[in-house]
Amino acid sequence: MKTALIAVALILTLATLPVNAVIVKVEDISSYEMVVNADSGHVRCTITLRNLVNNPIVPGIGELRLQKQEPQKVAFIPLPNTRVVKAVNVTNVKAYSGKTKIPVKVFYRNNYTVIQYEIWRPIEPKGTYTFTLEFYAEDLIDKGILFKSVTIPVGADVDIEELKLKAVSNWHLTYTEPNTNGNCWIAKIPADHIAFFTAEFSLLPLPKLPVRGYVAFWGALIVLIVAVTIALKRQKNVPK
Amino acid sequence: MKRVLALFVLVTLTAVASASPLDIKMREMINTTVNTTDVDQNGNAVIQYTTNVTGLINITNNANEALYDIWIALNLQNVTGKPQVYSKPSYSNVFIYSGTTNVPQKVLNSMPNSSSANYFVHITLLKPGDVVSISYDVDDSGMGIDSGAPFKVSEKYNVTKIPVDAINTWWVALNVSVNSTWFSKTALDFSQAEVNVTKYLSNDPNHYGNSNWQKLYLSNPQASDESGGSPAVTTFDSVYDSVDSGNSDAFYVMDTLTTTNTWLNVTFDVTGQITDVNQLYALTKYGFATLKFDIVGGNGNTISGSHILDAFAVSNLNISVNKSGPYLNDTGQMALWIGNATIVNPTADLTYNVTAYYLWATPNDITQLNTIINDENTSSPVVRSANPNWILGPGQSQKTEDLKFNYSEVPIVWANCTFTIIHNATNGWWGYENTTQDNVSANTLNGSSYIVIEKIYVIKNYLIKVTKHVIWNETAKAWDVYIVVENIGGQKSPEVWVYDLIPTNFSMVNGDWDWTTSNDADWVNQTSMLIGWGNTTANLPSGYSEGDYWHLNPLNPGANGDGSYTDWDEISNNQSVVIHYQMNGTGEFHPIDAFIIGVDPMFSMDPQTSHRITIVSGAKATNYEPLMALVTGVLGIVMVISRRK
Repeated sequence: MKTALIAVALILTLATLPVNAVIVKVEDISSYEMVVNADSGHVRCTITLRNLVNNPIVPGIGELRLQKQEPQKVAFIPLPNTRVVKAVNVTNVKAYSGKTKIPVKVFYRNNYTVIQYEIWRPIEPKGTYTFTLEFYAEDLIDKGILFKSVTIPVGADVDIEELKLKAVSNWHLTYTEPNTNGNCWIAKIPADHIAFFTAEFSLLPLPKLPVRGYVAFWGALIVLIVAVTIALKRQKNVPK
Repeated sequence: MKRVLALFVLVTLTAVASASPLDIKMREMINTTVNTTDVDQNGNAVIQYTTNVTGLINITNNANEALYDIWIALNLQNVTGKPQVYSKPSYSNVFIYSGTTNVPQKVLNSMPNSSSANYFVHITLLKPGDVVSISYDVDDSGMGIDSGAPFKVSEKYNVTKIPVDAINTWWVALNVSVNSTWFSKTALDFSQAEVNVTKYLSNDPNHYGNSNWQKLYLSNPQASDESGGSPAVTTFDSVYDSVDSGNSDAFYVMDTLTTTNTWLNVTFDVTGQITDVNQLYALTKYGFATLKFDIVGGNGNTISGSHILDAFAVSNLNISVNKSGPYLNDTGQMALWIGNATIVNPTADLTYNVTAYYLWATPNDITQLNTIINDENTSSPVVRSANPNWILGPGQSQKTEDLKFNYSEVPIVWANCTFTIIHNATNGWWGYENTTQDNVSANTLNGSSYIVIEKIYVIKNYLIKVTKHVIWNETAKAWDVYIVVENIGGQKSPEVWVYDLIPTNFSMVNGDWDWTTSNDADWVNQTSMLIGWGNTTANLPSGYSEGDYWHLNPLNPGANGDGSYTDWDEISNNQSVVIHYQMNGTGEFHPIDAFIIGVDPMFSMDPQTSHRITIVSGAKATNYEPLMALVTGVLGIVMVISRRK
């Protein structure tokens, strides 16, 4: 895991958070569950806001900002040591709390996307408010040939008491970072920090591996080809 | 971490009489560390307590004579380890015994209340004015009192933070209450306590102040208690506050807390101006409060339940033997002798209890002084003893009964007595299971002091205050609503989002909702500060029909925070922004519901306001599979080509 404290990470560049943010914490996110479908690009975020003070709070307007960082490509080939940041294309955005629909708007900024929601219902003192944000973002899926992966950063300008990040697919799970028992990672993220979770899936019926599956597979294939080539060459050079 | 250590020592005491000739004071001191860690979201000072109770027994000779052979019988409860000699005069030998093995029987006989003693202190000699101190440690954790305090103290402010440079006034409520839970774990059955709360403002760094305060004074101190009383508050000049002169920077208030009047509340306003703060925000000290207590228990006055059971001591005493004879006895012989003793108390201030005397006769032979003669008529040993328990005040005397016996030679008559000073506060020994109260100041914390350090957040950064005015406009037949957004901090703010809710059956009227034209009801002044406005009717709380927000450009620092919507200088300087609209109601409406407002910056005067939560997410491409596949393919082609060759 490239854990939390990657302060220079890509996403921070888009967060215009005040310096020395929360000195008087009035609210936090007590639970944040994010499920990413690595086949369809469907994302479901279930967020519970918690009021920490003895006065009601109207959450008002909140934002989910999305950005993608990827290497430059020539045709479909990614070039190492290059980087491009861009907004994430999202569709079918909706937010709701139970049966209550929450207004959402989507803005595409220069190199990031803003999904803005509005919550006008007060959260009672020490109370919570849970809502769900759903959208499709195929940009989140890092597609290969036999393998595909998602590497998702998550952070906020308030504490996330419990983050559950899950990636699902019809393909076979071959790798996660951090290493998890299944495809779900649970963590606690302090305010203004970012953590990354990676999950890789393969079309091949491979087991979960300690290294990236595509590296193991294609690396083994390269070694095999080189070995066969050398063996054939030696066989050819043997005097008959 | 905003961590300041405060220390208090609380001493329990009752009304103490003047010193006795043999003064035995059992004093238990409650040393509590008060760690003020923070000011929380609701303006409450966050206080943590850790408590350690120690006992000290001071044995003082206040008589005019030296006291000898002093024995103190103690019953020490809930103590850890053995009591120790804490201090003593160099000439004095002090011994501490557990059990009665080393205690002379006649001493035990003179201390009838010592049967439950588990420790005895023996002091061989104590001269007038000298003191022997014995210490012991109370088992705080065993009693479960180590993480609490006898009195709970809470402080609440009406604000959690103030800006630098500006003259600020904040309201403070200091509450002192009996911690009955804590007392229930002690042997001291709380009955009542005399409480003295003294508050000092301070700009002295050595006395819980900060030298950057330029103004610091208090006003409107008022006290109230649970029984409805209003204890008098007396102001005086704090020696720790040099930026204010006169009697407006300290006060004290006294009250009696009981089982039915369990709390005292003191409120006051503090006005302060601070400069030269380096940090963007800092928890800053501005003074302290001391609490002094006199606690009266209904079941003794020690926390541990320890007691002084009995004491034994002697001083000067005269005993003289009178012998007369021989007289003619019943058988006609000149062999009848009569002996007795006179016991005189020569002291000026001690009263003795003569518990026993003993008369006997020996032959007039220096080699036979250990031989008690026998009466020549009865053959019985010539002895006489009694336990008279005579009380001899200063200068008083008593004569023993006569020792009559028949002896044809000249005998030696002997006498001794056992005595001790009486259990009396004026002329004997007296035990006080409590003690006096020491003076309290900011740097002498080892006394009966309980110091509360007072701090407030000082914000050098921006600080947004929003004030909403709802005023009936007779001309327009509608309510004027003014929302005044001010940056009273020291730095420029970020963009500000202001939220407002329109109550049910109200609606905004007389506007075109562009918020720019000033000749209608909806406008923002200055207009250039408005980035955008939006409203919603969905998902509103009960009682409201519309939600509105205004997105404003960053505000300049330096507004005075008075909430005025006619402060044209601040408005033109973009230190204040005024939002105005009119609303009117139809049917049954509730104007009271209009008094609600929200603002989003993190540094706002109101802790209950929400800032705009931003969650970040996205993706990072880390899959170089196409590249590796390409390499594999190229190698495969190379292999095939080389094979064909």
